[in-house]
Amino acid sequence: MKLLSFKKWHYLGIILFTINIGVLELAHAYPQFIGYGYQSCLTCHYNPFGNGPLTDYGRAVSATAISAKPLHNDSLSDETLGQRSGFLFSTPKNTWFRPNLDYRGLYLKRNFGEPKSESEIIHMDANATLALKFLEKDKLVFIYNFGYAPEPRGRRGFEDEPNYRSREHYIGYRFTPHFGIYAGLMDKVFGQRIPDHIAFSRSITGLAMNDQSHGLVLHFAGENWEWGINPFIGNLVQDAPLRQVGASSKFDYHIASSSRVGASVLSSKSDFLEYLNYALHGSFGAGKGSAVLLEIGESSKTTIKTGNEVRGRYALGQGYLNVARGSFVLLTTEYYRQNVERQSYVMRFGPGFQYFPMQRIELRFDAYNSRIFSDSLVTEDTWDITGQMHLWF
Amino acid sequence: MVLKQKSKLGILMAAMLAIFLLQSPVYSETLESFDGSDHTQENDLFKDLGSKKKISALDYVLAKSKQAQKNGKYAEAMKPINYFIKKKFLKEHHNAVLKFKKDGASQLGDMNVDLLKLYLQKASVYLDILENDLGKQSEKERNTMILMIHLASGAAIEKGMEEDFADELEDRLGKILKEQEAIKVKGSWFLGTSYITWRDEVTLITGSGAEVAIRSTNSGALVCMGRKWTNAYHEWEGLVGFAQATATVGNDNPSVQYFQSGVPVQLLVLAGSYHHRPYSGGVGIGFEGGFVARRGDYEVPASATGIDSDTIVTLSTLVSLRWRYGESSKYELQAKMGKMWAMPSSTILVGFAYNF
Repeated sequence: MKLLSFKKWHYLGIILFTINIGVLELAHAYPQFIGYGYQSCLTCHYNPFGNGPLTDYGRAVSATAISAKPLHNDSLSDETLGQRSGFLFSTPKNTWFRPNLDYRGLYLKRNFGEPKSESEIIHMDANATLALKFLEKDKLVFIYNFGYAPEPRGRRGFEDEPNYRSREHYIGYRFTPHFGIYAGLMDKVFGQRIPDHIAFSRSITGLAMNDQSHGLVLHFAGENWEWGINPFIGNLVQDAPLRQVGASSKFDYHIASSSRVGASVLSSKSDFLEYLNYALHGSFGAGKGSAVLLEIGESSKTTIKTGNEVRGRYALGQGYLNVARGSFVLLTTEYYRQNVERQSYVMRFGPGFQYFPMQRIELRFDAYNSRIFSDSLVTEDTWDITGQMHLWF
Repeated sequence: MVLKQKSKLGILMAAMLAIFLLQSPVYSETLESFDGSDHTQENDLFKDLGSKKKISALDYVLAKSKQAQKNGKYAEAMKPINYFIKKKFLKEHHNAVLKFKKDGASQLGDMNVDLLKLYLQKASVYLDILENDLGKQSEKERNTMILMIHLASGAAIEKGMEEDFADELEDRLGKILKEQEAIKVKGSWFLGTSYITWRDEVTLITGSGAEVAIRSTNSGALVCMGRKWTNAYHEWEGLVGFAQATATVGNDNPSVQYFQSGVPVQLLVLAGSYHHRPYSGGVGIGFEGGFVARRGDYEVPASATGIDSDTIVTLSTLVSLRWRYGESSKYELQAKMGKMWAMPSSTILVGFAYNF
């Protein structure tokens, strides 16, 4: 995704960031929290399909139910923690102004245990987000996010690309609790919105960390279902020929108090590449705070110039097991067949540990064991390990 | 006439006083007077209790019972209560138990206040016994205690006496019974099936006698069955499993050209596991260890004289996670990751189990 030089209106973002210590895209209420009985992303996020800043309720839940308390005085009650869950440990002084800061850093060691092993530290995200909300029940929201984002790995020729961008800015209005419209730059509505952007379900479907698009999101919610329609016109910061223009839709049906199943479809096209993605997905709460997320799907990519179509298939299984308040053991199992017409495929297994020692701090350790299955070659497994620190205020 | 009337009034009042005194909960006799034994120790109890005033036998018995209960001497705490009931309320007690068993607390009628006080104390001690000696009582003893606790609390609520205390007794009993149920270990059989993948290694013997290690990638299906013993917090399990897989075997060593795909490989697994179930819920995290026997139909290439280790037995250790869809669900998603010791890299299993 090539970025143009900053357009004028993006200087507004820089100014906001500078004077306001704006707000960050927050991704700390994850799909796994369906294990706590939270069916809808809208409960904790302004964006009805998750990601982005947390609502006041989401912050309070994070402080009082999800994060551990070893760094707090024992005498501090959950109620007090909830009251201090606002920006910079404060209780909001008004109903409409909600700033936020966010940082996510990664220690990555590739090919662990091998002579060619390399390690590096990546500042994946450092941003500020401002959420403004008005009217009864926060019917009207303005979200603006701006911050540092590193150049995506493995890409050549884009070294002069700016490292500051907005990953999210939109206006949302909820006409009723059952219907809302959101307009602006947002993640495309598709599949499980897990934070692991290297997951095949995100990386091969064009839904990674910098693949947001300007467009509309229509969110419909019934008693036991949610439906989203997302026509989009690409990221307007990109060159026009590169913009993926299309639409996506996602439907979820709540089969129980902490479980849902659904399906997604996405079709988009630029001057160079056409995507057609479809997936089935499910989230199943198990025990207190534990959950299993599943997604299977296909992604067809057609090169416009040659008409060459490659259909890939993927599966994601991510199990979270809440072993104590704030502590999760997880195991991610992924399958990816780059071309369904070929036999070879890759599987990646990722045991990990996620710890929230307090609200505003997330630590996560993962190992990724990748294995290639082929009837024409035998390769060694690769092991990568990562340590993440995620801070938000 | 007036004097006669005053005299009759005086007799009436004296009679009423006598009736009142006879029915008063303040007993005129001391403990010595009705059991005739030496109560030097009990008299010392008065000193321990810091009470210098003369108290009734009932209060004495209750105080003595509470003192013993406080010290964790439950048999001692029950002895004076039972003795007092036997001596003073035997008939009422039998009637109360029979009525309660038949019709519940609503038919207990206007129970004697002293007997009710004794019942409440008795129930309190029984709760301590149930709480501190979890599972050590016989089923009959346990049921008797539970019955008496329900009787005491039910009678108190019916009479409108010590209702908060009665509610507390019921709450405590509910928690104790729940905990007793939670720690009860139950055995069950299970059947499971998993996708399994592992890296493997066989040794090729070349014509010159040299040994060349050849890696393989394996994947297939494993079926297993076994028995598990589970309570709300822990899970122990023994299983036997069989896997049918295919392997791609290859080597790019210039000295040996060897490649085979779709090689049939079998695993036989004998394992045991322990899982902790946090939050007494439907999830578990633990370890599995066991023995694995593997054999494969590897073909010997023309450039080699044989394959060593086409059949091996090794140990396996795996970290295991499991999720049940609902605590009482019979279906379980299982994921395991670890190592078979004689083989390189990792072994992974992802599958389902059905608990009978």
